[in-house]
Amino acid sequence: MMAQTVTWLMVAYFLAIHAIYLMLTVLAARALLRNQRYREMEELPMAYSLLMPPISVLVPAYNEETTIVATVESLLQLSYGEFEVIVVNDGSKDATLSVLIEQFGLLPYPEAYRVQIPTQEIMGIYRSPRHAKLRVIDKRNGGKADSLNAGINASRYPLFCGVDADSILERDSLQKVAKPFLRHPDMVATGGTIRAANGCDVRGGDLHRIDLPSNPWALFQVMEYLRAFLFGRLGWSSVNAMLIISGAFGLFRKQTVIDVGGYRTHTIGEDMELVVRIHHQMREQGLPYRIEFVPDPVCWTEVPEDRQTLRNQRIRWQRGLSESLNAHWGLMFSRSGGWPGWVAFPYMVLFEWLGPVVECLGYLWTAYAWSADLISWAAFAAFLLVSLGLGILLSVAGVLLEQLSFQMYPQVRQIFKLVLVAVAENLGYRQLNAWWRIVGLYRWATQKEAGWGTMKRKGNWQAPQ
Amino acid sequence: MHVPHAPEFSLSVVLWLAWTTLALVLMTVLGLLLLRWWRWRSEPQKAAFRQRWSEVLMRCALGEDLKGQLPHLKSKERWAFMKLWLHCQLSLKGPGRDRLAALARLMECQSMAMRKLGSRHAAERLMAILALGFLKDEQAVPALLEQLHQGEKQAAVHAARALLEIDASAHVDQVVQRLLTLTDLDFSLVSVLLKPFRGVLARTMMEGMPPSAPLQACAPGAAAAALQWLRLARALSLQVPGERLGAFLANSDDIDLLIATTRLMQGEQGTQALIAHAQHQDWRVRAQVAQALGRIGRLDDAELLARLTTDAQWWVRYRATQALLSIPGLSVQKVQTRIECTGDRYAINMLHSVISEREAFA
Repeated sequence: MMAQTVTWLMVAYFLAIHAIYLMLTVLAARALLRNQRYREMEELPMAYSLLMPPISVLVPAYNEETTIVATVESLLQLSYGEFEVIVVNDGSKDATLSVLIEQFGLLPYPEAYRVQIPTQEIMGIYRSPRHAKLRVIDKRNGGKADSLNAGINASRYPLFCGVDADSILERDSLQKVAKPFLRHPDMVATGGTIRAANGCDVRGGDLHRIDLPSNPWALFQVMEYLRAFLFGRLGWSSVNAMLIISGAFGLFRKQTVIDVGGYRTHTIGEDMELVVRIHHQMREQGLPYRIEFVPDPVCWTEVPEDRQTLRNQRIRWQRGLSESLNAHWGLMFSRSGGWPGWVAFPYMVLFEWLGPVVECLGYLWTAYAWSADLISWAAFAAFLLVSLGLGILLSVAGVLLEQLSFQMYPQVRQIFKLVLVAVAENLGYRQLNAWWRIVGLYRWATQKEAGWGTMKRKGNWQAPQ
Repeated sequence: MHVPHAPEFSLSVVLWLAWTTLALVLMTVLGLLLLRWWRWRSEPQKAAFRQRWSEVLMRCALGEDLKGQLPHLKSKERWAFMKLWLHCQLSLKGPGRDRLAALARLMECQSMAMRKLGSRHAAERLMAILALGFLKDEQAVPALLEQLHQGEKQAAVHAARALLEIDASAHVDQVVQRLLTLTDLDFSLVSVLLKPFRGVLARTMMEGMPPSAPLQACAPGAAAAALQWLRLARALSLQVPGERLGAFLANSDDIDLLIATTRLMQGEQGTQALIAHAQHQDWRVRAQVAQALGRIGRLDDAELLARLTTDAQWWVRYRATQALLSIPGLSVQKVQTRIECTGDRYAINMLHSVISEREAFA
């Protein structure tokens, strides 16, 4: 009887998590359909307004000598009224700074730097006589969060957009993520959809053709990104309870970020921690605010293609999640918590933070119970069908949502490949991922050191000559 | 040891769930395939439609006589035609627009646009409003006035554009009145949509400029109304006489109002009232004053600006230094001497920073 009860608890857990995902899918589908109609409207040829809020694009860079030039050239070509690009060289050990100096003809510039958030020492500030929008800050190594804080200090404009140095932005990405700030004066942050650039034709930091990768690790991640961004974040955003804005691309109101103390250094998940802190403090102070997700694909990033790099990334992400949640327990079930405190935060704790543990225990327990003849073969099969089948259903629903909205992968060959991946990722990859996340939890609990990590890059990121 | 299994009904529930899941997966995959098949069928038709009608619209805009040459427009293609037509309207200027409007009337687009005004999708409603404006359809005026007065903010701004397109002089008063009552307006949208009618709007706006008497003494909400007026004036890039703005500056202590007024200051008139706020306790006002003095560019204000370069706030120092360097007749050396005389390290640093910035982009 005990065995049956535990098995039932496991089934109930899987049912609960997938029921929430299905609810988010429904919310996301509604938001996507609404968004699609607005896209038709936004495609009408209207002049840009000079009243669009100016934006500072912050690019923290650590050992990015191979990609930084292409990234900066791509950023300088963004179509937006008024913006500046600030590259923050975080004490790189390679030639990141010298390639920037050489390529853009940077000159030292005696800027009156304004410290609003304390950071590591600034070694120098450079400007390019050829590109009025570009500035480069050279500072001692302090991590990504510290670099972003230095960028905030140096930024001139009321909104800033944190961008990873290896990201490719769509030309109109800033327009898309800035729009919610025009509609709602209380908007404090917006995040955009990130897609995997692997398999795409990337030349000089620009995306020339979109396709799926052939590498299986990258393919699995394409599916994960589809799910996470299309219905994960969009669903939470529709109830103003989005707890994550990806560090690869997010737009923030600068004063709000300064008021809450800037990015927290010595943390791995600085992007999530900042968003949770904004929710926490704004709600505590009773201030009106909105955090919105823009479903349009605005940013492409290269995802790991080998097991080791992917494993390290997932361990880091789980540590980041643990740190962010652990720093803000006060938000959960607080009187002013609202959707973020009463629904999104507990969901994160129960299904994202502890999820991998329950999932792995579920598999182990059911396998053990079946082999020890504590449950029937049929019960074992039914458990697997429910836990894996619902996972497959959600992945396929993600593909359907993508096809209904943006159709980035319109060919029949691509759709079949995605459906196959939706099935295959549930048979091994998902379980492996859960295990890596448990390792991340362990490392967080034992407080092992962690840094930026390295990324083995496969794409052609060289700037065109 | 064999442990008896739980009652079979629990297993049957799980099995039922498993089969339902499997069925749902298969249905979703089927949905995906159907969607793909539908696209495969419809996309070539859409492309052919776009090609056919883009050519017709271009020829029409250029003034070609298309009588008897118009392709047949199926009723299910009307909305797609209207979107394409709207695209052309917003891309063109001059008489081509009138020719396109005549073509759309010939294709009976008014009835489609009127129907779409009732659509439950906001984007469709907005497009219909714009289309009715470009169609210059007098019969649509009551519906557009309803959108202007009762629609949500975006619809009201779009309706304002449409009404001005139909008859600017007849509707400008109502448009201005309505825009002045809409709080939290997206002024960027106002600027984009209404700038073509800046001239006619400016006249009405200036006639209805709020009183510059002490606002506290005016009716309740007078300060908010004045602020809305000033923001709208900025969105429309209106040239407001300096003495009127000066009167606002002299009679108000509301920070938002002071900032909005200062942003509109252009000429020398009203400068005294502006200078009176150079020591305002809010740094945003001081920064705006410094910027405005730079735009006005009077040599007499150089000393005041030099003082502002020693301000505690970075933005005030930055704007004051920029302003000093932009005053005609004041060389960089003279500015340097003035600022060095202050002996303020932060002011000197800022001067070097701004000089480098100017040299870099000269």
